Amino acid sequence: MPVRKKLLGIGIDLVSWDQIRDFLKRHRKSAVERLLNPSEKISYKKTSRPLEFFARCFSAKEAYFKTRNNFWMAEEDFRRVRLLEEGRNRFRMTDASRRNLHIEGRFFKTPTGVGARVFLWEKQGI
Amino acid sequence: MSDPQLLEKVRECLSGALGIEPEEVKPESSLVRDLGAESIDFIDILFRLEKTFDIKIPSGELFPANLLNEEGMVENGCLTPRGLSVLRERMPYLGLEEFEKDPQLSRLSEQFKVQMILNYLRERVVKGAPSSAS
Repeated sequence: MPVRKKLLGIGIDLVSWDQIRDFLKRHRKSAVERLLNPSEKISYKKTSRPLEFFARCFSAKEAYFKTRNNFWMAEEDFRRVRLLEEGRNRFRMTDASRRNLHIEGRFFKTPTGVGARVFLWEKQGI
Repeated sequence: MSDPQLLEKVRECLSGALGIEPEEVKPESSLVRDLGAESIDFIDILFRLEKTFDIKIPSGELFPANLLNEEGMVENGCLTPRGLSVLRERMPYLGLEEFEKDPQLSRLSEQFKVQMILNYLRERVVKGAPSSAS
């Protein structure tokens, strides 16, 4: 039976490669430790493109936070939310504190960086 | 540490994080509206402050999160009296007098000013107050 969904919000975030590069240059250890969840940390350490990986994680999570009218989220919020890439720039996210949500989005490229667009849905009838 | 010394160090942190001249950082400057801070800049600022002042800023203590997710805090795009009360309680370093006259949620980010950071650090560093997590 298809799950009914109600659109709660849309969020967008952009980051530039220069921003992320400079940020990781100064705070790599703290950023990875405090902003990525355990599975993302493993992926970050394995990937051959850590800058892109981190930029995508960050922009996707920020875009999700913006769907909830939050302009700032605490570290544990960053770590609680998990990004699951599905190929072709599509992704889902899970938020352990809000299991009634369906979070999906797409990455897009800009001339100087990457952005994420997130749709936040509430599953209904669950 | 004196107030001028505190301001000098905060200026260094913010100018480095935001790519601006230190002179542009004034106590009354809004991080978002005046200094152009974006999402990642807030985290950069937090990490720089921790390194500069050799403190750990517990999650949500300087830039509190999830403030307005609770029911009854926001109505028709404005903070309710309850929302304002919670904001005052959880962000004691934030000056809200001007914001309370027109508490539109869209204006809240403008209230995050350099003075807020100075107020917080004055308590933690100058007066030696422990963090709320300790």
